[in-house]
Amino acid sequence: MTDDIEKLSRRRRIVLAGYGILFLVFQGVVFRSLDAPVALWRAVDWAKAAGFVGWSGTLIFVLATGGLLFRGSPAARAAMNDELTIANRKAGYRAGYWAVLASTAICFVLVQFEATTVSEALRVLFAIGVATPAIRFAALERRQGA
Amino acid sequence: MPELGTTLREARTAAGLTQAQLAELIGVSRKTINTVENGVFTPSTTLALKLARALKTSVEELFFLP
Repeated sequence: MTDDIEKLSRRRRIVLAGYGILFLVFQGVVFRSLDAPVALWRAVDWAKAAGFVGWSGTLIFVLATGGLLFRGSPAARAAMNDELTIANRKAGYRAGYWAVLASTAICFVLVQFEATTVSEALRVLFAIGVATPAIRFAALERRQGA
Repeated sequence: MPELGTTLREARTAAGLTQAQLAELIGVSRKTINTVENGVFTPSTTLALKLARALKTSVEELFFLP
């Protein structure tokens, strides 16, 4: 069972770190077009919106549940959501809180100098709130040897 | 300096268990055992009791204030 737990934990860490970082990168590359009014959206923008919702939902779900998406025995999945995991998740949420606070302050200063839509600011703040806990959690798991 | 001292590693090796075996006995991951042994993670009362029971000792024997 220990091998299963190690394998699943490693997979969870890679998913959270990889998808978390990509999610942030994609905000500037792929999801920018979502800031246009919905009336102007083309089919590709609707697909991007679905991707945005699905992507962020997956990150939130995997972090919140400890990895219910990954197949494994009930005992392995319970061990994957043990006390240390819960402590790491709390540390991740804490990091997300500070990251969103700092980003909000930076956003407030930036909008004084550069035209920014509400949609753009909210999207970026949401993405930081979703990705930071996932990345912080993965970093802690890596440091602890997952 | 760790907030909580522990003799978990000594007690586990004295019981002839690996970290993986002890983890499986009490239903946690191996890295949880590893971080407790290294003083990186302070276990809850419940986990401390489970560890003590699995190693047939007391919580006071496993953990102490430095």
